[in-house]
Formats: sequence, structure tokens, C-alpha cells
Amino acid sequence: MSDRMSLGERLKLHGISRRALLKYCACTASMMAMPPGMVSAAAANLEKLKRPSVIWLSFQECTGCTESLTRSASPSIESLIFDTVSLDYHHTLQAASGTAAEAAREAAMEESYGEYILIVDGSIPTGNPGYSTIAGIDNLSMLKDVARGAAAIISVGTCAAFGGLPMADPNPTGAVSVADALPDRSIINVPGCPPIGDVITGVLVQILAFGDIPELDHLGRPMAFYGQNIHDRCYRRPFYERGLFAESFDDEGARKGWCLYKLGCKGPVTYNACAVTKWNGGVSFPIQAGHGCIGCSEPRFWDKGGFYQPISQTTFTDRTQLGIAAAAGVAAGVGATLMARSKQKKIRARLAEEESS
Amino acid sequence: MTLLDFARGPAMQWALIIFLAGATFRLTGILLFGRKKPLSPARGNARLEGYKTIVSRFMPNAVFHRRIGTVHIMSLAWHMGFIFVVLFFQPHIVFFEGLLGLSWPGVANSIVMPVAGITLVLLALAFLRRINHPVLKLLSGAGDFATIIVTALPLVTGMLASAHLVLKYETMLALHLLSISLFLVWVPFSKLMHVVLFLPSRKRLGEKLGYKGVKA
Repeated sequence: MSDRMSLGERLKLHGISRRALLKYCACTASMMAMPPGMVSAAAANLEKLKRPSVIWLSFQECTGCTESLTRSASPSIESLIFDTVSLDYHHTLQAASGTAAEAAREAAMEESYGEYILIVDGSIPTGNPGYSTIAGIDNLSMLKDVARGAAAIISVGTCAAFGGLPMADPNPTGAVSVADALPDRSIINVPGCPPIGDVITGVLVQILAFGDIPELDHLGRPMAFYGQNIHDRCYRRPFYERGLFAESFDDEGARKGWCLYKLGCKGPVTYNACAVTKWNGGVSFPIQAGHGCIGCSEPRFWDKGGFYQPISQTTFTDRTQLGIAAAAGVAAGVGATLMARSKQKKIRARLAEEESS
Repeated sequence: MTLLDFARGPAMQWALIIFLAGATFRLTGILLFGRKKPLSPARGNARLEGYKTIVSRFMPNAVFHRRIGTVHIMSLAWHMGFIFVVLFFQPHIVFFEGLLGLSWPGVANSIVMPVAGITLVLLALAFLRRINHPVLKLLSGAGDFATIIVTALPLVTGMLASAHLVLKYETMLALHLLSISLFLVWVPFSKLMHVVLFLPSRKRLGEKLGYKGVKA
């Protein structure tokens, strides 16, 4: 397939009509809360788009983010758009390996210097350069090298965005997020473990269609997808308000689809599009499947107490200190009383002595 | 560590430690404090009067009904409302379950929220009365006003957190937990200690009066 073909031509080649592209753009625009007038502009820009270069670096990760993006139930327009971008380097997906793969990366960087999009999944170990290497190059060096010529950098998945599982206490590899590794660059974070495929492509489409970075929240996440918390959009919210909760995963409340708050659902403190966009083509999401949200799109979600511990509970588990505090209070009270009584006794004795004399 | 992590973890832990150590220290000291043995014989059942006083003090004596009846009922309603919100809001039950291992049925938010609202209004009225009443004004010190504020904060932040208003839920929840921590720390060092002392002090007063044959 020629690299000079536009995205419009490529879609036509795959039997995708302009109407279907417009529908996709309308859907994406509505997800990202764009005005309707932007739909045709986005479609026109995408149609004209010439094979942009994308370099995907995978560091300390589990490949779940790539799976999320590629394991769609049926070929979709977003997957075709993603097929159409020139994914010049992705060591999970590319056929080449070893020296050839690295040569492809270097060639892509040289050809599109200053224009390519860098996508990163996985955190970066800083404890020892040898903890994670690709073709003998440590992750931090490779990231800094590739980031230098990138037009935009997207951290896909919570590991890249916030450190994720590798950074969980005690963080044995000294893992850091992309933003921490590149403090002088503006990073678009698309967190989740993994992020929703539609969200990854939605962010990518906005960058490709308009050439700008979407509005981000204080954690660098696109507001369009991470602007609202799951609890506010959850279909089980009315049960929360009515005080109807599942107490275990197989009780009557669970069978009736009641709120999972008491089972540790982190929906009220998690910002993501799961309850709206859902997964597998809009089929379902974890809460709909009967499991509480684990808050995977939030920083340090592994270290915020147990997944099954409700958010209104305290996170400290050792109650010994409380027992010691109560015992110390009693002991101090007894001690103070004994001292006071002894003093009283002495005063009474002195008074009695004075009276007798 | 986020603000919520701090509020759920170290802040609450230290607040509980200070509360338990301070409250048990004061309670033990008061209970063991030496008292003179009465020289006269008992003229009534002191123990029974002690228990009766715990209950009878929930309402003022009939002779005071006209003068302080309304204020007393408002005060009683405030306390009942506060206890109801603390004990029957579902996330609170979950909190106690995590701490004590005990659980009980709760009620719907649509019941708890209006009760919390009324409770807050009653507290605001108590505050206004305290700053406007000539005698109460003279009797009140900075600690009394601080106590009202420290008591109001968990109610205000809790209602805002539950309604997802003003700040993001996690921030408001953190402020709510921090305000509870402040409340717990404040208890042993203020008149809020009546949370712990009202039962033994009523019993003691009833016993003392009952011993002398006075109906408490």
C-alpha cells in the first residue's frame, strides 16, 4: 500500500464509505463534547491525512494496552484508522525484530523528525538501567532519544501515565511515569489498566484531525474522556441513593444489580469513560459485569488499600496502636488519680497535725 | 500520597489515637477520683436514682418547660439528628464496620440528607442564640464557638461530599474525613467530652441526690 495514499483513499479501498467516516467522526465528536460543526471538519481533515508516523515504545508493561487497542470484536473504522497510521515501531506488533526493528525506528525518527507521534506504554525503571532494555538500550535513554523529535507524546495505560503496577510499593525497579521521566515535555495521559480502545483512538483522532492537544485535566488526562467520575455516570447510582447495596458477590443484592460500594467499588473517586463508552463495542464495563471499579485510571491505584475495601473505611489495618492508646490513657488516668490521692492524703495529714497542735 | 489517602490513613489513625488516649485518661481520672464517704445514712436508693437520672435528664423538669422547653427540644432534636446521621448513613456504617467489625442496617440517602440538613439548621440556630443571648454570650468563650464550628464541619463537608457539590468528590470526602479527625482530636480537650461523660456524670449526680433522698 502506497505511503502517499490519504486516509480517505485507504478507507475507500477497504470499502468504508464517506458516510461511515462521518458517522464515526460524529460519534467521536460527541464523545469528546465537540460542537456538531466540527464533525465535517474532522472528517475532511482525516480524509486528507497522509500516513502519519507513530512510534510505540513499550517499557515495563504487560501488553494489555496493546491488546485493548487491537482485540476489537470486529474490524472497526478506528482500527482501520489505526492500521492506516504508519506504526513504524511497535515491538509487539511489528514483524521485524532485533537490529532490523531498531533500524526501522531510527529511520522513522529521521524521516519524520519533529512530526511523528510517540506513544508509550509501560513505566520506566530508573533504579538500574539494566532492569529493562531493548536491543541493549535502556528504557530511559530510548525514551529521551525518541521524545526529542516527537510532535506529541501520549502515555497509554496507567503504567506509562502514572507508574502503575511497576511503581507499586515498594517500587523495586524505581519505576517512574513518562511525565516524571520527561519533566520538560507536555504529555497526554490516557490511563487505565488497560485504557478503553475507543478512548485511545479518540485521542489519536483528535490529534490527527486537528493537530492540537485536547483539553487536559490536572493529571494530564483528556477532559472529554476523564472529566467525570464513574459513580456520577453509573447505572447503579440510584441504588446507592436508595441505600441498596450488594453485601457479597453472590447475595440477593448482587443478583439484583444493587450498588457495589460496600464491596469496595472505587467509582466515586475514579475518572474514566467506562460507564459511558463501555468496552467491547459498548457491550459492558466492569461494574455492569458485577465487579466494583478498581480505580485503575487513577495514580497509585495499587496502593490505595484493598480493592474490596470501601472508600469510606480507613486504610490502616493495624489496630494495635489504638489498643495501646486506650491502655496508655487508662494507665495515665490511674497514675494521675494515685498522685492526686497521695497529695490529698498528705494535705489531710498536715491539716490534722495542725489542728492537733 | 493524595489528600484522600492522607485523610483515610495517617490523619484518621492519629486522630483516633489522640481521641482514645485523651478520652480514657479523662474518664479514668474522673471515675477514680476520691470522694468523701457520706457521714449520714442513705435516705433513698442512690443506685436506682442514678440510673433514673440518666433517662430523666433527656427532658427538663416540668417547672422549666415554659422557660426552656423549646430550646431543650431543639437541643434534643439536634443531638438525635446528629446521632442518626452518624449511625445510619450507609457509608458511615461501612466506616464503623471497618473499624469495629460491627454492622447494622442503614437508611436511604433521601432520608439521611434532609435529617442532616435540619440538624445543621438547628446547630446554626444554637450558634445564633449563643451570640445573641445576653447571658449565654457572657458565659461563652472561644472554646465554645470553636466547638460549634468543629461539630458543624463534618456535617457541612459530609453533605457536600454526598451531593458532589463545590469540590470534586474525592477532595470533599478527604475534607470530610479530616474534619472528623479534627472533631475526634477536639473531644478530649473541650466540652465535646460530654459525648463520653454525659452517662457517668448523670449517673453520679443522680446517685448523689438519691442518697440524700432527693428525686433526681
